[in-house]
Amino acid sequence: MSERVEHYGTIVLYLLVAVAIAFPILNPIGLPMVVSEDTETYYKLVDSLKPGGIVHYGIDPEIGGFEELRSRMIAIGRHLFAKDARIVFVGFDPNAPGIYKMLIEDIGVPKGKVYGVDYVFLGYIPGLEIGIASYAKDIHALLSVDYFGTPLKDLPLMNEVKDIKDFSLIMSFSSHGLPLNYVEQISVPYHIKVAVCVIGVMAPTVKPYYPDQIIGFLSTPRMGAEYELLIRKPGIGIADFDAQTIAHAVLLVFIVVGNLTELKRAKKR
Amino acid sequence: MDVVALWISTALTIFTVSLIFKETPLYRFAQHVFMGSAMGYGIVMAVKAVSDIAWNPMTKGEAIWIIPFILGLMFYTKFSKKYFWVSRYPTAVLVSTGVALTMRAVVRSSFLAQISSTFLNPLAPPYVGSPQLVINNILVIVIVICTLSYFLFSGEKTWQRNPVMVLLRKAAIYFMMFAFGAGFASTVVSRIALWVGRTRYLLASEARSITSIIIIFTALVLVGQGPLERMWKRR
Amino acid sequence: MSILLRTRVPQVLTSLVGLFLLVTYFFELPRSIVDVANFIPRFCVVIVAIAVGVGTITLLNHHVSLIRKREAGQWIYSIVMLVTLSLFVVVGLGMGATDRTFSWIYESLLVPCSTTTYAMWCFFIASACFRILRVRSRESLVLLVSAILVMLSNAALGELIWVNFPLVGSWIQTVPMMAVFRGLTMGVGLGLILLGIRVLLGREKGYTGGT
Repeated sequence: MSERVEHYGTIVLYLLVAVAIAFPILNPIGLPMVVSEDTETYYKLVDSLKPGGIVHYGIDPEIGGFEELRSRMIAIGRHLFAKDARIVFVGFDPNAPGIYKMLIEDIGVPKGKVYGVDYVFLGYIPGLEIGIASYAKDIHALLSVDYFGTPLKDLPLMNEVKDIKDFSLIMSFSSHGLPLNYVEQISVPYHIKVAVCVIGVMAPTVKPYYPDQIIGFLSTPRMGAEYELLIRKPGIGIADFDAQTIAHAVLLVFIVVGNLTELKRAKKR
Repeated sequence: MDVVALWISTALTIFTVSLIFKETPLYRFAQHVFMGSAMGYGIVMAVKAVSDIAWNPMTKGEAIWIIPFILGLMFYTKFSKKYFWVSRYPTAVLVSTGVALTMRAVVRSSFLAQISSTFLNPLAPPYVGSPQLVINNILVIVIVICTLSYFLFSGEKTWQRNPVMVLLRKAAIYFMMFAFGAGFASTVVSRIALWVGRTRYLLASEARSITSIIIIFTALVLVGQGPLERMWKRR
Repeated sequence: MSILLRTRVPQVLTSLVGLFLLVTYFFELPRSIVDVANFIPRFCVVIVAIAVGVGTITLLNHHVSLIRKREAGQWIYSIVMLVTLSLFVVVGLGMGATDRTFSWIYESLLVPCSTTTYAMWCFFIASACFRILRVRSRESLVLLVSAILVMLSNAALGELIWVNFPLVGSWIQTVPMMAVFRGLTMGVGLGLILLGIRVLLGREKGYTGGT
């Protein structure tokens, strides 16, 4: 009997969470938000780029983690294009090509930006840490073509980039341990700090490296919403924030109810 | 996204999430589609990477790229009962390269830089004007020392019994619980964000009707699976 | 001779290649030697990509044997898996990875499955919040308090209580949480250094078939 109660109780729990998340998506509330210091630091980092500065944009999440990073990746991508930065998209995760296609559609390349001049996509480089080390050492020795098969020497942007030292800013968006590999293979040998965006699960592991080896650090979807506020381009980050808040509220209720149940049980004993 | 893609991706989403209620043939179908897709996609990306990085330059005259091809193909001797040991050679190269690249950096990144970031002089000029920063720096030093002391396992019968060590380890437990609580909250926000993204996709205006139909279908399978299985067993 | 080729030579190769890469990194050496050292990681990038096939063959062996044996409750799903794998491989290699059709099947099949598999954890976390996050000792009380404070600051709930509440969560993540994980990072770093030394000295033999 108690097994059935527990089973149906679990189903009710799951349905409550699903409804709590669905409701604000269908009926947005517009909850307040204060921009955090970390988001402002990252924003200023991108905002201080000189026009024409070349940026390494590391598309390093697995497709499962991309959904969480999406708002931040889109907002920062839009900011980079608005600052007339030139972007080299590359990924050290096999999902990079698939994510690049979805990302570039979401960012919406502004009119006037030309592929090969203002941005390129070099594709997926295998090997994780070994791939990062090889890429950082000499890009042209590792890659002869971009993802679409165009020789690098035919891309004007790539003629200005030989190795990692030619970038004004290095960014990684990752859902696993790649930011630490960036620190080990780029920050340590070349004394260049990197800016990273990670998923919440990775935040505690990566935080010790900030701000001495990592110069910018965004770790929660809320920071994506804050970034959208700063660039004044509301997107999915702000749209999802209400649902995040209501879901957190529901989970906090679960925690309180669970603890009250435990208290009652302890008193009975 | 076109209609067919919407139907397929919505169906796979709902079939996958049906696991939270019960494992059904729909979930197993979706999981095997996932496995096949992931493996197939991985193969295509690997072949493309090999083609772009090594094969094309090799066919254009850079003969040196034959070396990684030979080493990579040596991995496949793993399946031979007689020559499986040949695969240890490329493994040795990979392991040694990975170890060397990690070791040359980890000493600085995970050890020396962490020490220099931790043991700041809390009373040095940048912090003097701000009591909060001074307190934060002192706290960081204390917590790092406590955490490190918790993971020292030698000297069990000697210096581990020193009252200072006992106090440090007790404090470390509380600090670590505090940190793991914060880590749990980070995990919560991460997982909620993923489901919020999926819900946004399922409830998008063009997908709502499709979502409803597939939810009803999945619910019927969930409810009907048990009685159907019992009927089948009786037969 | 047989044991030499099968175990000793790979172990020696590991030590030699690893030490060679370390020496070329830390010391100023002639250009020709450094160029050889630069080639090794590039080769490894290609080796790793070629090695993907090993996992594929293992998986295929397993599922083909399930289909041959008509394993009850499984063989039909193995066919589904093989059909999907073949679809990706045929379209990707035949039409090209940059082709729209390949992107279509990627976005229709892999993206929803993968994203939802991770997203399902939201429900399990909810269940964990109800069943597991309960105060049973002083340590668990500390964990709970910290979790609640950070959860409040990650959502707008904190701001509704007190406008500066997010600073509390930010402080927790910047000072105590960071400090604990820094201690753990240093411990892990030490472990990695020791493991690396063991590998380079040939003491780690698992991957070369030794014990």
